Amino acid sequence: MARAVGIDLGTTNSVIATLEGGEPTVIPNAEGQRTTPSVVAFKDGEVMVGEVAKRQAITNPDRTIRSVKRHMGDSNWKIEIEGKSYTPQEISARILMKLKRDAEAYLGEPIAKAVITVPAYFNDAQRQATKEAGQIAGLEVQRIINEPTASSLAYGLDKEHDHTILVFDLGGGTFDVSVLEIGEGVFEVKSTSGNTQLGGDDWDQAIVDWLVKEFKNEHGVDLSTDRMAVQRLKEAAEKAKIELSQVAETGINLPFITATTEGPLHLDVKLTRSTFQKLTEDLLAKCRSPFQQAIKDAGVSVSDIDDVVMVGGSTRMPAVKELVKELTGGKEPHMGVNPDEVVAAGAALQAGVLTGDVKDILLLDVTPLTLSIETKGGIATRMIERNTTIPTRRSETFTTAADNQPEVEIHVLQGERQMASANKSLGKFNLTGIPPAPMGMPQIEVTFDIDANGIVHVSAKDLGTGKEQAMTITGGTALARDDIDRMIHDAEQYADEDRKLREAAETRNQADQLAHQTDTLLKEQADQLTDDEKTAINAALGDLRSALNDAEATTETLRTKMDAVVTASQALAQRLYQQQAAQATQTEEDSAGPAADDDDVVEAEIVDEGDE
Amino acid sequence: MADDAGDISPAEIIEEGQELDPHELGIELPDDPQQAVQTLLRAVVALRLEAGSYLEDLQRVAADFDNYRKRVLREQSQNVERAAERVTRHLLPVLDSLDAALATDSESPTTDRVLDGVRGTRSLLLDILAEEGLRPIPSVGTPFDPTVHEAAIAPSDGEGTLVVTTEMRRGYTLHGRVLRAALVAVDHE
Repeated sequence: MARAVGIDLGTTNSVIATLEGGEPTVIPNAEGQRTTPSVVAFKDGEVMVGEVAKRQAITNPDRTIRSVKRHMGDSNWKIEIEGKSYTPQEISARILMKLKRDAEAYLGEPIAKAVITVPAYFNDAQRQATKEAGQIAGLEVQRIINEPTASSLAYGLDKEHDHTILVFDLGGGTFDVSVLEIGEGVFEVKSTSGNTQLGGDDWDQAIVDWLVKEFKNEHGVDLSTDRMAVQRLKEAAEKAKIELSQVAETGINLPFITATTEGPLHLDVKLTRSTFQKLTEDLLAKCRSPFQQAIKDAGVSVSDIDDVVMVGGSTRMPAVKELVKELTGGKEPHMGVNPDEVVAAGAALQAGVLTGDVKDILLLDVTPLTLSIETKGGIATRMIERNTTIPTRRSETFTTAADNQPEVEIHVLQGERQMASANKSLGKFNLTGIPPAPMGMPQIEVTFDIDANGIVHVSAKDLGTGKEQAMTITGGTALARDDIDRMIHDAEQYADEDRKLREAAETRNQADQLAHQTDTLLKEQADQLTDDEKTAINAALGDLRSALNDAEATTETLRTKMDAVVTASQALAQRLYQQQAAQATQTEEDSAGPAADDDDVVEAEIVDEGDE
Repeated sequence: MADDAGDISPAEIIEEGQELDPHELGIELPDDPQQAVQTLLRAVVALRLEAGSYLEDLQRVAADFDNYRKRVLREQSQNVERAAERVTRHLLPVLDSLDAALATDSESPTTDRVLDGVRGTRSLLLDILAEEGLRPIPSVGTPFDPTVHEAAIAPSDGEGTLVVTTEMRRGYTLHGRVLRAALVAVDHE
């Protein structure tokens, strides 16, 4: 079946996306870029699109077309090239053809159907022209949808009822504000406003202008007349702008930016976020009135807005985010990692719905919080991590914590904390009837299975006897959003403390195990030991045991005592090791077969019922 | 898409009032109507169970794929970090040599030797980057090619093939892919 795609056919850049496993994925072009400049050029019968067309623009200005989107639907606009006249849709089709061709090469399959986005203010003629462009490019245009609608779809807002959505789209060269209303799965554009000549490039230019001025003040040299210097300034300005979204101050360092008769000159300045914001105050102010106009035209008030969606790379700037927050009365906007890809992603989702790729039965949930079981020392051992898509299943094998332990307790927990007691208990059950065996020998397979409805089935099976116990937890995943957020927040807040507690518990477990092993060793190898060695090991072991019995003993104390036991039994261990090595060689020669491997038993041990 | 109901589409089957012929559908029914109903009911229950198990399998596969996708994404970002680590480690000798250049006593008349050192450092850097797959893009004297050259200065008119006359900033390819186009001035041959 031919694949469907979503295309954001932009004024300066275009993006194409498709669904992979139900998730929108941007398809990179042949040059490896996720966005393609919307530039088309003709030269000697050859057509160039994208970055290549941009690079030759200055050599071929009459036959290089930028921003053709601004002419869509204008029946008077024609461009004469090499004796042939082209309409805006024919030029746009060239961009679509490149996107289609590159995507087909990337995916290795043909693309037949597409959803293409247009600005909400496009009239019928402009929409018709966009549809024609798609058809010329060999695409079956399933639907033309509004850019703000696509953005809202990308954030799943089509599931909402009677919501008012504000979409704030600040791209590279254009600015759009739209107010939408969603009712019964249908979006209605209530108003649009904006500025077709405002975008992120203006913010870059403000930095370039500032750099030129600063440099002139200091060195008396005008960098704006030096093409290569300007190129470097532009790149540095964009980089600085992006960095200032993360940090409060950045360095712009351009050594050998130019040369005078007195030698080379270097540019090395600091730009703080506050200076940057002062330089671009007027640009930010230009965002205000279209915002207020859109609200007014929609006939709503700011308090009616349920959702705010941020689109376009420039909305990453903290000042822009703050402005939108201020204008919307402190509302937290929807904003993804790649705000410049949101429109194409939404279009791809729409294409998937229209093609039938997106089926309701396959809209799967994720586990909101981690599910664990309590193991020795009160540690929460993770079975299914938070944000795992369900239905899912996971098994892990555990063992006992004491010799001849007759039963194990399976205590199911929910939450992100490292220690069992800090998480929410979902239930517990016992697996009984484990035959007497040394600790660490029995193999208990614990399986977590969450079905599509979020119902958790937990089972524990003694692999030795085949005996099994199980429990079903319903409604465990149905937590209020606030509770989930609080639990995640707690886990972050107490991360350090939890890590220490876990370390302490793990050290205690190791110490316990060491004491047990040393005991066994002493019993089994009594004849191998001198009296002095016995006394030394027993003394160290006694120390370790009393530390273990002391609930207040610190991790450091336990480690020191463990080291002492290891040191005391070192001579014995070495002797045994040598003997074993000799024996092993012998066995190998005798049987020449593979040695029986230890089974894949996970070190953690299920808490013993008797321990509680 | 499965099409096993022959020429009849699912929509047609479900459509109300349409008379369906068991023979056409390939279903054998007992003559006794009571028995026929029982046979059909049994078939409905069996098919329901089957559909349920298919749906569950499908959901599990879809969820597995989704979890796999999440893991691949996580691993990808780790790989990127690891790759950066390797390149960065290879670049450290360049940093060492620049540090050494700066440690020279600025009072002593060693400018030429410092310049020699800078030249050496540059070729060291180029060697390291060449090992990573970096190649300079040939420009001056070659025909203008927008796949690797970015024109910054061009004649306003004239005819003939465009050639690169000046390289303003060198361009590079990495493993054959343009990392940065060469910034050039062009003119007619």
